[in-house]
Amino acid sequence: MAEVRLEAVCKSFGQEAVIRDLDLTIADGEFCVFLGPSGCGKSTLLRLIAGLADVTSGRIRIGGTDVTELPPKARQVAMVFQSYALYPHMTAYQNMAFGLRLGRRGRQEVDRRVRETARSLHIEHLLERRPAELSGGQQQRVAIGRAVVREPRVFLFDEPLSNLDTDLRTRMRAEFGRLHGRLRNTMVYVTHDQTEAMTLADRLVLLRDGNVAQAGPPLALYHNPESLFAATFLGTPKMNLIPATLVGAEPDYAVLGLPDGSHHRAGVSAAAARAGATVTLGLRPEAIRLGDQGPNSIAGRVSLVEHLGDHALVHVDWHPAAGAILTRTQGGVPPAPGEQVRLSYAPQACHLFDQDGRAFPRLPAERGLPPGGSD
Amino acid sequence: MSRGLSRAGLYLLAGIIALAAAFPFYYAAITSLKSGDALFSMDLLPRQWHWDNYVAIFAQQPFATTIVNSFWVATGVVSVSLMLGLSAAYALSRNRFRGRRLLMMTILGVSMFPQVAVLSGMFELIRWLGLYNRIGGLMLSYLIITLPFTVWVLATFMRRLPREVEEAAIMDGAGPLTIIWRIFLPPLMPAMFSTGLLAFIAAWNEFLFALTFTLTHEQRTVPVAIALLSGASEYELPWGHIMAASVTVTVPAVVLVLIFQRRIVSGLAAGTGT
Ligand SMILES: Nc1ncnc2c1ncn2[C@@H]1O[C@H](COP(=O)(O)OP(=O)(O)O)[C@@H](O)[C@H]1O
Ligand SMILES: [Mg+2]
Repeated sequence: MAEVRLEAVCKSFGQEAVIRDLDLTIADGEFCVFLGPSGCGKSTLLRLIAGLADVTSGRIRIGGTDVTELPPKARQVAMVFQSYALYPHMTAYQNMAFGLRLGRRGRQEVDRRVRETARSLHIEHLLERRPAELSGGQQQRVAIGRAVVREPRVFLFDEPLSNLDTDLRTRMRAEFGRLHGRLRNTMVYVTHDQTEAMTLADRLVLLRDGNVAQAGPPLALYHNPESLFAATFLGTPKMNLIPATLVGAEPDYAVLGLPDGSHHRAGVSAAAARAGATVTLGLRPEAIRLGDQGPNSIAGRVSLVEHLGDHALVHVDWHPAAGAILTRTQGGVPPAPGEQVRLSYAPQACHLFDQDGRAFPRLPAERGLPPGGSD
Repeated sequence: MSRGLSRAGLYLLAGIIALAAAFPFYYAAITSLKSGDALFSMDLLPRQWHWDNYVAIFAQQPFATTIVNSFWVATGVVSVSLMLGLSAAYALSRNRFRGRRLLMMTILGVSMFPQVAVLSGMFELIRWLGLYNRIGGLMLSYLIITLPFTVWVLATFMRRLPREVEEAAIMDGAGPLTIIWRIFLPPLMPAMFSTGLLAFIAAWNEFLFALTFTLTHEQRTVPVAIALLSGASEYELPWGHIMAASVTVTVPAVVLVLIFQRRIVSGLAAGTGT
């Protein structure tokens, strides 16, 4: 078990800086998920921790030891690859035993550990099969087994579920949660899938262009995104963004001028900005209700309704200068396309961003609102 | 109906090709069993079985020694080619470094020179190394024939093995040699057998270097020994002896091919798991 600490880590390939001056501490026993768009450097970061790639500058510590110069095998970390990367000519058993044998463990100890691990992952009956004779999900389990059996201090997973079909992915996702619950090791998990990130992470590290955009518990990121990037990256469907002007900032709310000329109240502290500043109002689809309630309401026309069983997504056109607003309705009969509707939202549901995409602090803290919207 | 016809056509074609390939060898085999004037009559079946030619080639010169020489040279060339080829292929296919393409092209380029072009240079090199008229000299010179295709074929196959598998082995604590031997070699066995076989045949049949770099009977290899077989008189070509010697040295080679061909096929069938 060990804490992983990245200090001012930079990594460039030739001229191209992929990781830029990144500082991050992953606590002992934490399930830490790196989330970010494809190409933002998630895999590179994982490979730096693994020792498969060398940092251009900066230090990496695992369990207090500086491992920056150490080769992968001396770091006591195990990695599960996106393609599983099982040794094709070896049986599942040999795949799992390979690392232990290289570590000059006794035959009996190797056998005991491989079988114990196989039992815990329910792959005992597959041990004599080669990768070609295993399904994707089974290969995945063997790949996990190969990592677990070595009892590493840190587990690294690079998009381990991306090659599985949806159903299996959901089941294996839960399995990763259970694995962490059982082993309590430090785990670093890379994904571009926010559902995996939201459900698995103790701490979510949102990456953008080789640096940390925001890190924290998944719900904290969801409810209090510090940037437009974090706000729009988390949550499906995406947060609605409405251009607005700051009319005035009171101690416990801000007054916004919307494109249609109406004034709305947002529960944010915008005292730092001057009146007249251009801002962006962010509203999650599930925070917008149909009907005229409270101070903030918008009139519009339904352009599209997507029925999804337990809920429906209603697209509402309202002002030519702003895009359609997407709302998520739960229960009841959703309006029909073409219908005139009013939408309203609570001041506490607002996110407000300045021109550089930085969020204004929300007031009050978001504890009261129901979580959701992640799937 | 038409499928039956095309199938029949296929077999016919295959039959013709097989016949064309096998007939010269067959004719050599029956010629080797003739003696005297019978040598020059066209028979498709041998009338009598004379083993005189076979006895003669072993009795009149150290033909057994020659075969042993050839065997050692070929075996040595195959082992060294495969060892060097495998390590070179690893370096060339798994690492990116400056000049890699140039190096690959040079290796290919070398194999395009006609042997005669390198003959004198090679001769000097072998003399300087003190390997003239020695089996070692032959082994060394054959490497320039076998290494290029060994490296190229193995590098091509190795490039198809996923990089992540290698990285998984690194994470498991394997060093470069362990990775080559335990991770890359097994899936590469079919390629190893085929390149090994080609290298063996190339070394076994090579004539020009063998003629130039050896002097005495005791150091000769089979192709040279056969070419230098002498007849009863200066004006007579010893066809019977030549054929007997050819058959003697071809049979083991053919057997070898058949044995390893099965290994190549079963290796491919076992698959690389992809
Ligand atoms: N070995 C490499 N050589 C050159 N560029 C690389 C290499 N590996 C990754 N990159 C570049 O680094 C960037 C980040 O890659 P990666 O870490 O794989 O992204 P992610 O895993 O987040 O999708 C990409 O733009 C990619 O092109
Ligand atoms: Mg990646």
